[in-house]
Amino acid sequence: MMLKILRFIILASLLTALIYFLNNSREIKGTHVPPLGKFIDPFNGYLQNAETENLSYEEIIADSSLQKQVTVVYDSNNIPHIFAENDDDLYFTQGYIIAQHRLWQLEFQTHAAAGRLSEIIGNNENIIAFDRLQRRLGMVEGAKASLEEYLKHPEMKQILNRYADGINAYIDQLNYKDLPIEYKLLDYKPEKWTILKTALVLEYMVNSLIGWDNDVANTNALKLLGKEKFNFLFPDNLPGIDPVVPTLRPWAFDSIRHINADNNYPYDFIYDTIPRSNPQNGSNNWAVSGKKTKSGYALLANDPHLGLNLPSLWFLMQLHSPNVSVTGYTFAGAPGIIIGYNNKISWGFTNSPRDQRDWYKIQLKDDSRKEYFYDSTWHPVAWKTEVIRIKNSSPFIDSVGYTHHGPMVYDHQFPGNGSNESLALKWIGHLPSRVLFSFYYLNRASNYQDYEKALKYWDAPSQNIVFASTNGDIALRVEGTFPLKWPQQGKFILDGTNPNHDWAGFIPHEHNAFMLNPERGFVSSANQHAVDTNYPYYTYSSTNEYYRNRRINRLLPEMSNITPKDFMKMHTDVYSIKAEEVLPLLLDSLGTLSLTGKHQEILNELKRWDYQYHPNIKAPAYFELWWKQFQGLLWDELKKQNLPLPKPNEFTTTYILRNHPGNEFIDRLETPEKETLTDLVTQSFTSIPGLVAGWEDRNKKAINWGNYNNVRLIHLARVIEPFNTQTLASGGSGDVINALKGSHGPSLRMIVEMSQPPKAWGVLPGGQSGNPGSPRYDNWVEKWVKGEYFELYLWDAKPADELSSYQQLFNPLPLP
Amino acid sequence: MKLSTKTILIAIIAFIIQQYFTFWSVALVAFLINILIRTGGFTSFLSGFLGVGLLWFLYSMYIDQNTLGIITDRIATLFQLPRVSLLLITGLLGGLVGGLAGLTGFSFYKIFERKKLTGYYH
Repeated sequence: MMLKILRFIILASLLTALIYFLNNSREIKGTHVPPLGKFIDPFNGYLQNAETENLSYEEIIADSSLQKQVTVVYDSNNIPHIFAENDDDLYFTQGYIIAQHRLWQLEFQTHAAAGRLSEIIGNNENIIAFDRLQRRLGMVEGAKASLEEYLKHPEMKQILNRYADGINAYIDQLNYKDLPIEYKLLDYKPEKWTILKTALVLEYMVNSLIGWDNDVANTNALKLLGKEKFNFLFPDNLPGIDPVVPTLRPWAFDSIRHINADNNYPYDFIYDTIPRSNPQNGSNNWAVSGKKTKSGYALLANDPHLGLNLPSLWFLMQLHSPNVSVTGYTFAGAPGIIIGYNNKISWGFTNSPRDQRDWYKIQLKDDSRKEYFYDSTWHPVAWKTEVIRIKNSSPFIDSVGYTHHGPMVYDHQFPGNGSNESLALKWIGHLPSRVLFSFYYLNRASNYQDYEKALKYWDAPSQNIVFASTNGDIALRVEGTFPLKWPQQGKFILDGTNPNHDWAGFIPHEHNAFMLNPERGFVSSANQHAVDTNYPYYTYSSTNEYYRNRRINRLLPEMSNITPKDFMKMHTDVYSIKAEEVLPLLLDSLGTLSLTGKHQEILNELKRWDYQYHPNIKAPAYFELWWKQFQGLLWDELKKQNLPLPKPNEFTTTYILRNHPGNEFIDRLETPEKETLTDLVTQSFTSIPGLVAGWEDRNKKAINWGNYNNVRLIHLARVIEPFNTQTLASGGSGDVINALKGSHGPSLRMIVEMSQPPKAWGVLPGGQSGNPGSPRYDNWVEKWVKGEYFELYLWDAKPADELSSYQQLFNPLPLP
Repeated sequence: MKLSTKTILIAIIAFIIQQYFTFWSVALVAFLINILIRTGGFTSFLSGFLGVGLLWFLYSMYIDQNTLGIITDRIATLFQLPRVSLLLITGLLGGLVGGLAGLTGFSFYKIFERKKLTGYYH
């Protein structure tokens, strides 16, 4: 009897242990393993995330907060069109639909913005550093400031709340079985959506669009080189620049402040810098007037370049209520349509590089770090404790000191151990933003005046906002919150003790540069200088674009009788003005050598090349390797161990080589000889075969541009390899219109013809679904690579043949 | 005979109960069925193993085929396994839970089972 009881107890314990083991996740050799039983159970686990070609969402949804029935009709491209009878129901349903397609992405972005990734990913050095940085940038503080502003406006508060209600209605009805697969893999659950999370999504966008200043590296270079050499290598302006808004006639206003403060910058070497957002976050947009098109209607094109991730950043949908009808691209977490068109107007964005972020060196009183010096007296530092919770581990505690400039992102604890400097960040991300109002009014705009009014709320990262309307107007406005600056202010680290170094207000909105129906019949932008030096305010950026914009401005004047097809072709143009300007210079300076077989072959390829970055040829890869190697030799003075230094951009490099071919930087410091330009060009050319062989060895495939450029879409979590795509055989490069490079490039493409009603075409890298188990996760990738489009639809009313297309009904409770 | 009856019963009830409950609900099914229908220890284990194991294997194969391997492909790559092994492991894991639960059921009813009276004095 006792033995039998014992046997039962042993077996029951074994069973319990087995179930416990299968019901929990664990770390095995640093690798996270999901709860195997839960995950593999075909009734509830990952297999339930598999979808077929047919949409299979909940078809009837009931919610007591709805006032009227809402219908969501999916068109042939699985794009949802929401038909609601009032805006309350409209934004509720938008929230629900975005959650239904993109829940994991929606929440992951906000965890990232708030510095909470360690909570879901676990103890990982890089992730903790990332979280610390978000905390130290004051992302949540910035989001709260904007949210406070929105809450002052009852209509915006209502939109945010209804959008959140919609997301939460979706979350509330989920079982484990229905969770996006990433939750199952990482073993966590979605939180309730809050309106602060929407503000965080916007804050994240602000950070990725302006988080790329060069101030610290510039300060290092200034100390290393002195002012004269610095200005030689890093000029603000050069001949041959083609700004977005050229000065055609005198500006109709005077600048309101132009004092020249003392330029006593802190002279420092700072050895460790925080990571910056990708400086390639660029874009193209343009619009032509009806004079230049075949149909006689204005035509608009936009392709914003951002990190290429899966799930795709953008989601396509139409919003329709008695107050608004608009189709276009939205991103997960923000109500409304961000880039799109309605029955009267269309609009799109490119980033306009402008310095909206500055660093102040803080002088602390003593090691207690309780007071800092400013304007001849001591002020208190407000210390905030940041608790970073880590999955399966004890939390990481950080503390961030706030000055009136902003948080001391750099201090004795961060980053690394390199420096003891305390640098406070001042950026527009800490200011309250009303940018959602811009989208709200753009969605409802019907002419140029409405567009202009909508952009009065654009207190956000600087953007070139292109516009076209059915009454024939085309326009482009450069909008953003632009701090007033004295010349050179913000190029280097500023003196945090000196009030003259503070931002002294902002450029008034009516002084922002714009173009409306210019004589030349088109407007365009591609992240080049926004204005020229005649513009009455000082403008600065370290990341201006020099080539794509000139290609666009070379093509558009030559074109007439333009059709949407022409613009589709233009979006995938891979002709490089950089190669056109650089390669002859290199070839002309190449010394006469006795060339071996491989060298001769490379030279022949390059001489035959037409500067097109096609995927299946070798010449672009040879050229890029050569040019990169050459620049390395040329700017060897700017390679110092551990010291971050800027490099002259390629346009400036070419300018210097042409105009100062004997300058001192040509000589290589590490050799006793004095090199000439020819020596550098020849030495770098000679190294190409070795570099090619090395690359081919590492990558186990033959080099060609497609392989070398390595265009891939990477899943947001970055650690789940099978959720990424393979290398896509695609042409392009950062300097050509089809700006595809690595995992960066056109995050959407859109073309709108402003006929009545307008016609539009679009595509995006990925698909509508965020689910790696859905065919709609990546079903548009091939189209996108090939430069193909599908038609977008703006329906005036629910289509009559309701039965033939897939739809979801949202019913108020109790049922009518 | 009892084996196939139990196996089929376990599979059917597990299929139904899994529509509502998490994976370890199958353990309860195999446990209870083996208390209600009594056999030897080995048959008890086998009924749970086959009932749940086959159910999981066949159902995962059905989803895999029905969705053209869209998710099984990715997960198999993630676990560095061939797709078919992933499905076999699915069956094996389910089988282990079911089998062990069946055996536990067997050991449970054995506690209360009286030995048949065979002696003169009892």
